[in-house]
Amino acid sequence: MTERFIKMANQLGHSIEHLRAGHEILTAISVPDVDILRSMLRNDLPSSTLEGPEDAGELANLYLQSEEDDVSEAAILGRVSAFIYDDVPLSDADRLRIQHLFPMEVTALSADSKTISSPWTVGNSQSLVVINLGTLNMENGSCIYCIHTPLQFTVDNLVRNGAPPSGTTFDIGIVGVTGGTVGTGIAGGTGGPGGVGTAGDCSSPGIAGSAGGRGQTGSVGATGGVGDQGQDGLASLNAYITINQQISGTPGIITVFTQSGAGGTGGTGGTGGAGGTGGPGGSGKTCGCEGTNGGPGGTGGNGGVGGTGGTGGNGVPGGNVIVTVPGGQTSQIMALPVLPALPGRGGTGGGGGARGPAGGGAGGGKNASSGGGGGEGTPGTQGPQGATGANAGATGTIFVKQG
Amino acid sequence: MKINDLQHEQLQEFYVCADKFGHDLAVLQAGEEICTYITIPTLSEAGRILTHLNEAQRKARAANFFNTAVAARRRLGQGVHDRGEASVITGSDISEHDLQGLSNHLPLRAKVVSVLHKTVRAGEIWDVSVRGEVWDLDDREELYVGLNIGTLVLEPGASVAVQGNVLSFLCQKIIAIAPANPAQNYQEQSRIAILPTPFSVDFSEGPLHGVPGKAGENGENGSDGKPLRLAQSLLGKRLQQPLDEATLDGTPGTNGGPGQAGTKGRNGGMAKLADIILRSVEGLLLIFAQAGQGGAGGHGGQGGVGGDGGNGAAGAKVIAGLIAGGRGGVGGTGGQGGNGGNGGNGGIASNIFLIVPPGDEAKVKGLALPSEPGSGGQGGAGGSGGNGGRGGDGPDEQHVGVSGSSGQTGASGLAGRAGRGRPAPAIFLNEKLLEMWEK
Repeated sequence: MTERFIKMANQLGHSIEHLRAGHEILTAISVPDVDILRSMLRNDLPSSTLEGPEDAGELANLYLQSEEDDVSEAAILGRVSAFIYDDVPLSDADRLRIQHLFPMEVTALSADSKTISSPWTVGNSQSLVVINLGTLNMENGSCIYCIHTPLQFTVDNLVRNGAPPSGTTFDIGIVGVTGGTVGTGIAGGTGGPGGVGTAGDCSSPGIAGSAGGRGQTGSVGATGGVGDQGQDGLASLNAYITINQQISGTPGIITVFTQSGAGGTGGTGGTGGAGGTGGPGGSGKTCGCEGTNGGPGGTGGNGGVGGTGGTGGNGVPGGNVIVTVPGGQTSQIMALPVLPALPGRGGTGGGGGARGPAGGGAGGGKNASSGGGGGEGTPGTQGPQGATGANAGATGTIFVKQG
Repeated sequence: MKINDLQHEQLQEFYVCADKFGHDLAVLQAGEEICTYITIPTLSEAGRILTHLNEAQRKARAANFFNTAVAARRRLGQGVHDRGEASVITGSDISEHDLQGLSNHLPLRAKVVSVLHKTVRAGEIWDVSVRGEVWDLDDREELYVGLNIGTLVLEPGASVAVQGNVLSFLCQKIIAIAPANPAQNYQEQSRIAILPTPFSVDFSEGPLHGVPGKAGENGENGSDGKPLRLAQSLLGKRLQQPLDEATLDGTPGTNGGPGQAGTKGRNGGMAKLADIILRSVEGLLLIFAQAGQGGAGGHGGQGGVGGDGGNGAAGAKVIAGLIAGGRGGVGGTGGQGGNGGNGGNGGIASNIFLIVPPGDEAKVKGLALPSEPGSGGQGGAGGSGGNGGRGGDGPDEQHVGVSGSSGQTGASGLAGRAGRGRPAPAIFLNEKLLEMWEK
């Protein structure tokens, strides 16, 4: 156990005795205020380690652009990040603005030695995760995922043997989440029924007159609603990975990858409304002991056009990954090429509405014929595909530094 | 009691009538009953076959035929039929206009029955009715029944019944055997029953009783509030898109639809003309007549239930502050109940003419009742209001969303009106109104 490991474990409230006994300790820590949070995260980060806006990454950039009176979440987050990682003083106003966030729950894990031989997800869409390890043995088939979670990862000795699992190209992946599924557009309303044909009549009492008229054509079904816009991706967040003493093993090379969340696919357009039922034929009339024929039914309405698919969601910018290694070992960190977070595809157009049913023929008067049924309408056409999301998310940068 | 002691004139009239019906006399002499279905081309031929009145009786009947109840409907379609029947029975003149209307019903159709002797057992009903299906006609067609009976024995509580046909009944001797104890109600008394068509003959379609209205459509439930789109950060959750608090609220449920009105009841079945000649009566015979009760109006349909309000979406603690849960949507109002359908009117009835020997008049009593109206349908109950949506969870107790209120119950529908009864048919005994039975 190194002095650094013990110091950080103490700060996380993890029992050295249990750690010496080989136990792994995972706790939820309640952090009372921002100063304690800063102290916990800066425990092993000299203030000189992170210098300049490029090191602080996106959040520092935001900070640099924001004024004190900018109370947007991004601006506040940028100023607090600069306070924690870059020694920029935090104003009383900002302290007041974030007071409601404390006590803040942080996930913390300590282990003197840990071995993994399969993928290890250290965080998945959760609040800050702090990891404190003596030695981490990454055996064949293992890798580390951190999904849309801020990460502070510190290890004294990192041993890499073998390769990541099949289908995975990296040892450490800091990734986002593709935007989620969204709702289908509202189905179009059914077209109104056609009106009743004119009723038959008697030309005089007891003498048949005009037959019942044809029912009117049903209305066209309404166009389906536009599918919901795809959700924006969830970002890959800043990760601070520190290897204090040695990277070893066979091959002893650590590949690091980051990609932020792509936009989600737009929702499917709503189904077009069914065509309205053709109107019933006009009734025949009974005139004493004879009558007139009933009218034929009207034609059903045409089905409505399907709704346009929803626009795809946007890809979102990712945070940076700062990897700090012992002197002379920067070559043992291989940063993979970054890939942008793509915008989501447009949703599929909604299906056309069903053809409207035929109207029924009306009954005839006494000793007269009933009208025949009308024809059905035609089905609606499929709606157009939605547009692709507007923005791709810029990927964060992987910085490899010598500690 | 002797039952085979018909006099020569009675047997002769029986055979003459059977001959007009086209029945084989030898078969009848052998004691068989003959029932045939005939068509009669003209009204005058119908009078020849189906009536047995002398000239004086025809004149007297013509004077009685259009009494108040029958005269009142002279402008209706039934008025044409009344005048046609009068022409058949009394030989009265008929106008060209009426003849044109009646020509749709020619030839007349009749079921004719001859039997020298018949006994209807105690409590049994000999239903002599005929329906249009025999000639592939609809039920509205006016049909005739001709009965030609030598001796008819009605045991206690037995009856001869006709439902909605014009009846020509010639019986040489009828023996109505009294129950052991005096009859307390007319069903215990031997009788001839002039009953209505077992269906309505008005110009509407469908069943006698009104159809209950369908319940209203239930309202649609409101949509739940849209969940906040949140992302993680170093300081916990943050908004992924600008906050629009209104989107967290559940939307109101829609109102329930109104219940449909019940349809009106149809008019009761019609009791038609009866021309009854009894050449001899033994015992006490009841002539019962009543047209059909009007159909009940259908009950109104219940109003649809209002849709539930949508639930509010959960609030959250984000960097920007505490966001309260969305408000629950208000429940939809229940739909109004449908109105009850009006009851149908009681059926109309025609005259009943009865001829017996003057010495037997006291052996016949009449019981003619007005037709009863159909009751109005009850109004449908209003639909229940929808439940209010639940307020969304908050990041703390002070920020829980307000729940929506429940919708109001819909108003009840109005009850339908009862129909009207129709007058009892007049029963003429030897062309004078018959004394009514008083049990």
